[in-house]
Amino acid sequence: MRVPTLILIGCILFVSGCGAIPRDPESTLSRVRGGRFVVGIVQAPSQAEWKDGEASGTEVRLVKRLAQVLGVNPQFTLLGLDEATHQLKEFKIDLLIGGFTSSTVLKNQVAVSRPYDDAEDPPKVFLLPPGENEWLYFVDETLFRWNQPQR
Amino acid sequence: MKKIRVISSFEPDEEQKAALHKAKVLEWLTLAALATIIALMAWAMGGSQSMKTAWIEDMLSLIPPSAYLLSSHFRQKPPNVKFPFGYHRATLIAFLTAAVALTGVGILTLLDAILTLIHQEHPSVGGREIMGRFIWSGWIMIAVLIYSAILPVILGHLKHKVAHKLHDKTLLTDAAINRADWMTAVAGCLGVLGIGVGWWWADAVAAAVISLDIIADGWKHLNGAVSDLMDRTPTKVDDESQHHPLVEKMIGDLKDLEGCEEAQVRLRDFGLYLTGAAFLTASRHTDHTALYQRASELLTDYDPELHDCLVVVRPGE
Repeated sequence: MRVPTLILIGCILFVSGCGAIPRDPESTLSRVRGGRFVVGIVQAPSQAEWKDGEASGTEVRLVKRLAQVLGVNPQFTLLGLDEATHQLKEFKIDLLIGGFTSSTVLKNQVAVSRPYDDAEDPPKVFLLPPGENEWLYFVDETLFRWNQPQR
Repeated sequence: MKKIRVISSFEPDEEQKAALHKAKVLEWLTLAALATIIALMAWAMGGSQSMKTAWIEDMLSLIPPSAYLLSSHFRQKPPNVKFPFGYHRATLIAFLTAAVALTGVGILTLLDAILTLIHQEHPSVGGREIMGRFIWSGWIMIAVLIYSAILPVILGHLKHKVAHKLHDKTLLTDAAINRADWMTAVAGCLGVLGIGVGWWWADAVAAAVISLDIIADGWKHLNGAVSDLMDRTPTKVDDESQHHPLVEKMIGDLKDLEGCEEAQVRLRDFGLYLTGAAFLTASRHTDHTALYQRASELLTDYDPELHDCLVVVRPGE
């Protein structure tokens, strides 16, 4: 049992020495930081709406705030649910909003962020491309910080 | 129900009684340890398939200790008219059922892992808060997986010692599986680390490896239970490929008896002891009742493991 333990410890050390963990298989976060931040919108009254080429709603405001942290401009695009799911799985959009809850039927197909407002019940979330864990961790951590009580 | 004669010469000695008690305590401890592991895994489990498979394996490993405890209650019941051989086989039935479940679930999780690879599904693992800090969930998962490796390995080693003392193969198989549990945890850790460095496939590959381990465990149990139910000739406790030396020794000693032409011995493993029958053919002009007398005397207190061995003598021609 000693040898495998050493191998495992070695792997953990090696991996943590490699720099940031987790990393994106499809490098979404670095693409977003580079300025290409595509956000899909599925119509959801008061949370994510598309009217006259203008996005509005509580979730849209949060996305704009997130884009500010990254120093980029979000590019909104209105999609039907099926098309949005498909594009998310193909890594064509980086974030999907539209009043999704943490128990969404899509939760086994795409990544689900932490709730963006801890006070809300059921908890509302953003959807992200599957397995882009550096990007997911970035969004999760940012939402976590926003939900911390101001000191 | 009407009582029936029990195997008169068999009563576990003090040392065996102590070992039986210890085995039960260890199995209860195993159940308690597994309960904490299963709860922690369920809490920490994110989108990792290897972790989910390891979790399923941990839930399945509840079956052997439960089966052992349940059957140790049953097999103490004395034989009666309806079940003249006692209740010992209850253990084997429990283990056969567990083995079928284990093998089946192993095949299902393996198919699941292969499908994930074919569909190129990427596992998602985000971050979570723990004690006021926000960290990547993968680290928590790895910590829980390492915890899940430690307790079963210790318990497995302790059970191995007791199983040896008791000549109990079901307990021995259970101990062997516990002892091999760390491999599942290591595979799970590598899967989660794989997710961390951006190898989406590493997780499914690790899940496939764990599935193969579940199938191997199932196969081990299945083999053991089926051969015991088929009354395979007794084997050495620590090496199933070797026949128990008692059969050969008995045949030799019986053949050496005065007036014995031919001797055959049929033994079966009855858990804590061996039982069976010896078939003798008397040589010509030998009084076969006298041979019977000699053989019976020889086989009384012949070996501490052998109990209630029948002697059948055919007169010579």
